Amino acid sequence: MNSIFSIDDFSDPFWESSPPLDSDSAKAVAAEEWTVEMFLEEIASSVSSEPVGNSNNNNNAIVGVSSAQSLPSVSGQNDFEEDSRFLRRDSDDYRRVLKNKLETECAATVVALRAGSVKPEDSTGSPETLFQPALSSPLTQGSLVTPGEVGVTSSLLAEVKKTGVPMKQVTSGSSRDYSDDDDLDEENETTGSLKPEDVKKSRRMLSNRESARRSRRRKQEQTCDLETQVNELKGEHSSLLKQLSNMNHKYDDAAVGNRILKADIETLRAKVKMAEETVKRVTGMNPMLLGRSNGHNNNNNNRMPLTGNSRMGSSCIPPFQPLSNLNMGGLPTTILSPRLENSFIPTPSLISQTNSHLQRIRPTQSHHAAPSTNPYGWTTETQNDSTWPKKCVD
Amino acid sequence: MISNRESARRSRTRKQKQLGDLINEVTVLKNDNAKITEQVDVATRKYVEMESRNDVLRAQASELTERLRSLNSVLEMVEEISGQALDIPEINPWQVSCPMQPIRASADMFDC
Repeated sequence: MNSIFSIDDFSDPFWESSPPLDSDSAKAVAAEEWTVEMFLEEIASSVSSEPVGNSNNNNNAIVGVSSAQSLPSVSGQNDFEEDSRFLRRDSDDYRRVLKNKLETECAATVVALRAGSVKPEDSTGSPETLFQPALSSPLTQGSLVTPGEVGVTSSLLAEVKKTGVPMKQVTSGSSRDYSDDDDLDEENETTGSLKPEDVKKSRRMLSNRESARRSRRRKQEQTCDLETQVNELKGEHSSLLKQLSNMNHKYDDAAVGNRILKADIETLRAKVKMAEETVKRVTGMNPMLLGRSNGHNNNNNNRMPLTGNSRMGSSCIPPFQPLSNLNMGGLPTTILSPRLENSFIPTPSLISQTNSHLQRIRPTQSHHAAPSTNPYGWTTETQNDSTWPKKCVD
Repeated sequence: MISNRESARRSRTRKQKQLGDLINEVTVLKNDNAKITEQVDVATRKYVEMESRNDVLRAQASELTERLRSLNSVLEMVEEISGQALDIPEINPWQVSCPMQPIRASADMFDC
């Protein structure tokens, strides 16, 4: 029966009839619903025009309505939590909260007005209280009604107006028999069979909206998180690549250094052998036994560079004979005697081969001023060639 | 003119595709990063190993240098005493007053 009448049919008389009611309670009820409707119409007008000031006032009005209602709201406790949360977030959420409140409160108002549970004293107080919070709340928010939520609000208004229509019917019907509670209850039962359903419906719709909003927000957050993750991973990727190239360079440098060191060691070994040869030749003593490195010397005792001596000829030896008396390493002089005698003890050892190799090396080294494979620029003593003959001559 | 429903549908599918792409990108990046990390570890291990070998070689080189130094000192003594010039090998031929060639380390330096 409520759907028979359209909103437009009832809107004007609804607005105009401030109460053709007899009792105070009926007047109060109608007054209350009139104020509610008035606020809603203001919202509707602001929705179409969308100036900042109007919407501010309307939002104030919404706040006023919701705060003034002493009726239990749908979300109840959640509203406070939501408020505190939303004040921390952006104003969009806060607007949504206000709208939710408006919706719930309107639905609740419908319930209350139908039931006639609003006491006269309460309702008389409410129009005034409606305005007071409106004045106090302009500071709490100052946001525009966005087009997206305009549609929500308009649909809400339509819904409220629809609910208001049967409400009007009920009240007009009950105003005549208002003194009789039983009749009122009857009216409520027959026409109010929709009341709990409607309330439930509207509450359900509200909660669905809220849950939809929550899931949309969650999805948005997930997308945001994914984007952040992607950026992080990209940064990690580039830094890891840098690390990899860095480590590869270090490895290459180490490999090069390795080769250099190996070459150095080879040359050092050759030089050490040269020096050992010379010492042996010159002093007739085992150079390995000189100094500290006595560990692996014993096998060298018999290695005499006699092939080198053969080149020089025996005449070179005598000048060094006095040196044979030098006992640097505490060697028994008996070792020297074979040398003095210049006996040729062919020792098929590596040393002899190395020596001959060294003999060849030295002169060649002096010939090559800048051997291409020698990055160190060895300058061999130019006296090499001259000393040899000199030694031989002597 | 595309209807609103069509446009809405397209937006939805586009959004879903973007989300799927994001997830894929995350997976791919994670895999790549893991691979590169592994490579970095391998390269680090190789480097460390090469460095340790280098250290061993350096120790050998210093030992040989020391030996050469002692031998050279002996020869110098002999030279002083005998008055004969001996062929004393230089220890650090790479520290010459007039280098013939600038020292340049390259990987194929010793490849003749």
